[in-house]
Amino acid sequence: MQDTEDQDSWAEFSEVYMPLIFGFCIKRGLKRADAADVAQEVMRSLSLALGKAQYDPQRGKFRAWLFTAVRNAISTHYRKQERVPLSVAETTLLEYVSATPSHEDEETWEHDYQSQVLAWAMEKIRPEFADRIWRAFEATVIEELSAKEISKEINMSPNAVWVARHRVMKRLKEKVHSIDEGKWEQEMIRECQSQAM
Amino acid sequence: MPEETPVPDEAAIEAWLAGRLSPDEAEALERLMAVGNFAVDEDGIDARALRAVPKAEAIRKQALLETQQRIGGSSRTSDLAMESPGELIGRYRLVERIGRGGFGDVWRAEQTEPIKRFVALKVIKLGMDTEEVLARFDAERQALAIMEHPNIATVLDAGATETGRPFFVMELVDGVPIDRYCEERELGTRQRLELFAAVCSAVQHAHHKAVMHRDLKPSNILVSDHNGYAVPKVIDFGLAKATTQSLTEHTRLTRNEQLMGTPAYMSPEQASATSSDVDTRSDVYSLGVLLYELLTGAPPFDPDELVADGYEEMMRIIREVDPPVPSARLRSQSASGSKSGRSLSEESLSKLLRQDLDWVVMRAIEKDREQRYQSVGALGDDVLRYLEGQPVSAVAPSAGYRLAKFYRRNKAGVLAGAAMVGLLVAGTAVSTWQAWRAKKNEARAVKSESAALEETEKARRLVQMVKVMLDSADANNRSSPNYTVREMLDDFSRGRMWEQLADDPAVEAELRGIVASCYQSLGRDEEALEHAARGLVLRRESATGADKLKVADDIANVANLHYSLGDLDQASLLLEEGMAIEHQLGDIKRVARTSMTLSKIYAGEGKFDLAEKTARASLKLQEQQFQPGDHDYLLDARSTLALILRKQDKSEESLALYRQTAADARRDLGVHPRTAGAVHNLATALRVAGQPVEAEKAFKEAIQLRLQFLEPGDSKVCMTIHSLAQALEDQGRLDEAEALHRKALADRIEKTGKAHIDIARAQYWLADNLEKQNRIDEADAYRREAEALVEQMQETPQP
Repeated sequence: MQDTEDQDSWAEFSEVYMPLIFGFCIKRGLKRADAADVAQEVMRSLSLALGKAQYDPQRGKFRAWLFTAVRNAISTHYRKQERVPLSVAETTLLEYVSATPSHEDEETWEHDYQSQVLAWAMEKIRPEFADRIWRAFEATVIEELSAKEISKEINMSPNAVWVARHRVMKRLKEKVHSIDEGKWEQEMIRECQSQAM
Repeated sequence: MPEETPVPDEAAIEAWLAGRLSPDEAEALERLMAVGNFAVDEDGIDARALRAVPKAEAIRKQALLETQQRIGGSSRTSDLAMESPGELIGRYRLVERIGRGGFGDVWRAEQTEPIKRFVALKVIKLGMDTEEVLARFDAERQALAIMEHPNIATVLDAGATETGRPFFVMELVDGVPIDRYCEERELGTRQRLELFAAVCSAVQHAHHKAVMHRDLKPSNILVSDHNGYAVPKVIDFGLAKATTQSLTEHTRLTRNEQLMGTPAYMSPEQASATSSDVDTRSDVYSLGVLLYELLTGAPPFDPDELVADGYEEMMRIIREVDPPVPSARLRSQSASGSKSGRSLSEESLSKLLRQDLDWVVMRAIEKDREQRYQSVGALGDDVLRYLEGQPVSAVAPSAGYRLAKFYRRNKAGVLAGAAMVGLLVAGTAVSTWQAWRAKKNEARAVKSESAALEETEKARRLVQMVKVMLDSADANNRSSPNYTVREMLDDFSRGRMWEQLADDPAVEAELRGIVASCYQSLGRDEEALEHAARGLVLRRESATGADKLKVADDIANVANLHYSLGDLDQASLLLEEGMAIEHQLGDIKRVARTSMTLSKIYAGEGKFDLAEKTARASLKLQEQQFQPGDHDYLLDARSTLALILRKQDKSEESLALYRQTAADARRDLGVHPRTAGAVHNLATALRVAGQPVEAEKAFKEAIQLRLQFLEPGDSKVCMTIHSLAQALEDQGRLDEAEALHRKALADRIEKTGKAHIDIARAQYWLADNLEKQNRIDEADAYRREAEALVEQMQETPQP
């Protein structure tokens, strides 16, 4: 059914992007609850924009659109807090947040996106593998232990560790590449516009 | 013969990866695995990103935790399959789908028992907690049931479908949305206004029965023909409350934006971040938008443009942007040649509008609800008055009021930084001046050219001064990173620019006033007073004729500052002067209001006799001058006098006043925070007067009213519950009272935690109750706890 498909696009999209936005906010010094607020705010404005066909797919990808939306939402969030008086230092920070994105920011955003995608993909494929296999993968890939070191811990030959690593990695790549932002985009627009009737 | 090395087959490897092999099998397989065949192609996987995965995972967990708390674990019931014709929901059989909206589907359905009839059945499609929606609805059901009005479609029933989605059953209305109806029938202004007045009367009726609509918009007002008469019916009463509130509580996630109300018709307070405090005046706003649309062909803000720039921008527009008055909108429409679909010629309509209707509409859609019509009834009355050719109560706002409004609205902005303050001041200055000029030019059609030039010159100088201010801010900004708004104000106000203004007291007076209000908003009353007082002196020198009212404005501001600094003498002296000016200018209403403030000050000084006399005189004036929309002032005046009388031991008269105040509030304001306050006050007075049974009744009513706006556990709600308990104690019903005390205490703890002064207070009350029941030990325990808490509070002051 078409609806279910749409749900999946939204679900996948927010599974990747909610934590991304949330994490970005945390890095900008927001408290957890506030970060969650901002993240939801951004998602809401995205859905409003998509629903009203104001979002122009030509303008760029989600990520860039959201990046701007997130920074705006963060600066609005700061502005909303009625703290008196705000020092110029804080004001400067605000302006910094809402000014044109610095390279550093954009890099952070891109980099965080990559690791969120990986984390999401791992979450998804984790059930497909036995604990020992996963451990072999995790230890060698993320913790950067040698095959030999981990082979003792999980009682598996180094060769087998390599095989495990290879196989999980292959599956991970598949999962990561299954993300098709263009498809998300199209399906989300379709859903939002049908809802906005 | 060399033994062939068995190569592990793919199926075996997959079983191994998935952990489907026994330990022995796995070990055997692993031994077979050769090295070197598995060079890992890691293209497209960023190694740095991989290493950051643990951090990313931690963030995911936190994010999930945070959002889950809000969603409250509600299931995504919106995913469930749709209903289909013929299906039975409760005792209703679905016939055909007649509507589809953000909330869900609307069906024509057939009810078979107890009577056979067609109804409208609305299935809510939200992913929200069904039980909660129904519980909320149940709370409203009684009120809904007693609504009987020819222009209200009754809600008949509610329940849950088998798949757990809430549904509502309503009277089936065979009509079209009011905007479409007006367009299709090409109704004239008079007919449109008559329809609108009928809608007002319906909504007012509901408010009297303690039901707010909260989602008034054309599609919720259906018009049908009955014997040649157009009959509007408001549908969906009470549904918004049942469904939207749980939104603010949990489902603030992703796509549920359509639940928040319909942006174009949403009042600024509904659009604000903390939207729990919404009252009947929000419906006034939505109706104002509707009226705007009926008159001009479109709501004040274009729904598409509203959502064009995202959520935040939309909220900002609703809260801050003033739409053009309807007549101006019409003029610009006809100038740009756009079709409004109106049957009247634009020219004559815009003329019609310009007179009075503009102000009726604009007053209904005021951003600040205190400035709106205080009830739907008052709005409807003004429309009827207009239809009868009588003067309406809404008038063009004064310059001073616009200044205050502009300032209030931008207050948050002021605090956001030095630059903002500068902009604010510039904006304020210009807008004040423009508003003032516009008003003057309008008020006195004939105006000498030289006088107009003089005003322009004043405006120019004012703007120039603001530039000085900005420049000084900028210079300091560069020298110190911690330059605050206050420091900027200090530098500016101690600067030399006052000297440059020596020859122009009117401009200086204006600027002093602005600086004073900036200080005041920063909580620096002393500095504010300094500038306000200086401004007043200059104003006295420069003001002539009708400008004297500005002197009175300034006097009120200075008096207010004295008052908050505790100098009651000065405050009362000044107010007496201000009152004299108002008197001289014949502004009786202001005389009445100022004298009421005075009487409060007299009472504060312990001069009860004088306070009583002043309050009586003021109240009498206010009653004489009363116009719809003045309810708040009148309520305030009555309560003040009642309080003064009580202090004077004139309890009978005091009680009578409290009664009258409560009765008026019920009648005029309906369900309204002020009504709740008035009823609570009456109840307290009854209790003090030794009438606990009556007090009990009134407290119960007050609690009901409060719960319309506040949540259980709110300070005021708990306070009234404790008071109710005490009224029960007066009647010797100690058990019941104890239960109430405990409930309020528990609610409050849940809301604020234990470290709150309210908790100590509640514990004392509970202790008093227990003592009356001779449970001395328990009482003592609570008292000790309360005392410890009070001590702790004193050590760590509450923000």
